[in-house]
Amino acid sequence: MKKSGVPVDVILAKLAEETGKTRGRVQKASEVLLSPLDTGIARTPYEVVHTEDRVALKYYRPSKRPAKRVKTPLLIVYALINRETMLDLQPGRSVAHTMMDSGIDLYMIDWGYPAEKDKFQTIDDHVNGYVDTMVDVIRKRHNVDRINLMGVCMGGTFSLIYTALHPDKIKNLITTVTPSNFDTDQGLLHIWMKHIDPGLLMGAYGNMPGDIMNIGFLLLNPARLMLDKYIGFMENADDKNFVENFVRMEKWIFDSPDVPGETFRQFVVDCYQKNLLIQNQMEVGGQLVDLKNITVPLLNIYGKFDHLVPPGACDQLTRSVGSADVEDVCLETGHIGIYVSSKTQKAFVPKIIRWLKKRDGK
Amino acid sequence: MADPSDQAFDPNTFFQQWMQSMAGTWTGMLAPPRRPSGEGDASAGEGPEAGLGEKPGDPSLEAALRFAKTTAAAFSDPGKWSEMFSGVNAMPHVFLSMMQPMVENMAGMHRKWLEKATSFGKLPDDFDLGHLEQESLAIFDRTFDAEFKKLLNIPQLGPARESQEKLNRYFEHFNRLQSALAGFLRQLYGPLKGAYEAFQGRLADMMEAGELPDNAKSYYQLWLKTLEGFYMTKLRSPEFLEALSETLGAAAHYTQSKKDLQNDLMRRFSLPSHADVNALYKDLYDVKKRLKAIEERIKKK
Repeated sequence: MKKSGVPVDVILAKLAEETGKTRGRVQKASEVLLSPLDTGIARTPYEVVHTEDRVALKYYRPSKRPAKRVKTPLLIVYALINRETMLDLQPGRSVAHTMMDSGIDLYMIDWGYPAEKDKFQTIDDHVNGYVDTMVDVIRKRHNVDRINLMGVCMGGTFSLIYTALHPDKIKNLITTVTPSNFDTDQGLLHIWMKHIDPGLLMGAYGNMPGDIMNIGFLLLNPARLMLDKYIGFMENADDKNFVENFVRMEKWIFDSPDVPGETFRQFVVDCYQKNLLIQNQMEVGGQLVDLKNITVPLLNIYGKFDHLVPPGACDQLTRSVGSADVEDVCLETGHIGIYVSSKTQKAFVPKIIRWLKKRDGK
Repeated sequence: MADPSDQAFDPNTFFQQWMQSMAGTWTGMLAPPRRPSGEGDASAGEGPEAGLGEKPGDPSLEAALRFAKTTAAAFSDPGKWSEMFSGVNAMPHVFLSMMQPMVENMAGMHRKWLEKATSFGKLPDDFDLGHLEQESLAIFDRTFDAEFKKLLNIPQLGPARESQEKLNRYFEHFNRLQSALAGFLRQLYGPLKGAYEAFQGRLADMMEAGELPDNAKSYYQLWLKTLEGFYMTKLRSPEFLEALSETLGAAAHYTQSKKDLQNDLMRRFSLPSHADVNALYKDLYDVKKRLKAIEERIKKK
């Protein structure tokens, strides 16, 4: 028989029970928050092997060198938005650490913090300038003609452009949560970007302020990111491990360098507004970027629930390049979860290592 | 002897005599100062006041005195005096012609000021007070455009014109930003209101069906999911996109106007302005780029 009306007695009993639990939780939470917390990020040891202006090349020396390891060095190109520390956020869930442990010679570009003087820097300066310099440094250090390249988000787009323009320097290409088709209404970012005037913003701010972008990212889902997230924190504030990981994530999320103005303008206009890349009409440094020039093996990984770079922005890529050896991997996760969630850690990095190993000797 | 008070006063004669005496005074003042008696040539060429009698004084003073003398002499001529006074009869007409438009202008300005003062706060007919929440920002914008913007756009004159115009632009963009931000926040508030109403309705349905959850967290999750749904619809709606574009634009214009004002101030203090540093950065960027290209060319050789 169905209950009818409001179960006031049950609700009140539950409330009384919850009140008692909450009191204990608050007491424990205050102890946790007042105790010393380990909230450091980017703990995996690395050395800076090259610097140019604000940009540094980090090298993660493999802790062991198993016989069956990927011998070709791998360069990770991160986005200009937020920092590459996301790939080494917490112990046990560090992409950098897992790759290093598998014996890969891992390099990562740290874009630094662009200053006012960097506002004139274009996509060409980043791709044909910094990325090319770093690739050459790695080739020289390891005495190889070609290296493996992996791009993250906007860094993936840069990697695509780089490989199309310098196909002779890249052996295998991995794109992760990388937008290549910008003409999609699946993600709010793709809709919003069509309604902004990046030239006006650059005229006023010089570089695109990281704080403004942060507000934009929070607005993509205000209910979850501005409200539920912090309610979740309050609910779990008595769990030291949860608090430490939460603070690590907060540190990373709000560590937002400004994006060089001209690069931001070009990225918004050429990619988000005109969708030139996937149509092979984008020009970088006076050269046409033809994705058909990418003939190396390509692994394209993206998240099914990514609200920043939705599947619709990623899934056309493998059909647009000139490679015969292509693979799409759609993981059941979001934009950040792909790198930090415990579930995908088991699928994401091991998949990349397996894929690279298979193509390493070729 | 006749009493002078009995004589009829003749202004022409009186004025003529007075002007003659004035002409005499000016002539006397223009004459070189006399040397005191007893002072011989021995003092000439000695001391700071040596040669005072021979040399002309301050040329400006001399010219002014000469002009006063000439004027006084001219007006001491009775013929000219009569000629001048003969036009006095026309004066009331001239004054009237001059005053009439001035008075009319003043009255017109007062009338406009009064009209503005009494109409302030009155709403045009197309405002709907039944939807004050939606209309309040439109009212602010229209009031700003109708009443204040034109004051900020009054053409500025003189050497401080440019600075004043920049200051006025800054105020205008500041107001525009406040209005845009308020509009943007109203867009964000919409889903909260909508979700609350929908949540109430959902609860009513569940109550009728006897499916009300018995723990607080389920209520929260239900409300959150409803709110998320409302936001997902709102954040891609044309009105939100318009508000977003307007707010970002207003913020950029405000920042630019603030920088323009700061640049102006910095220049006044002889400090490098933002624009100066900007130009320097551009030069640096171009030089580095050219240097790199040269390095590449040398490497290839």
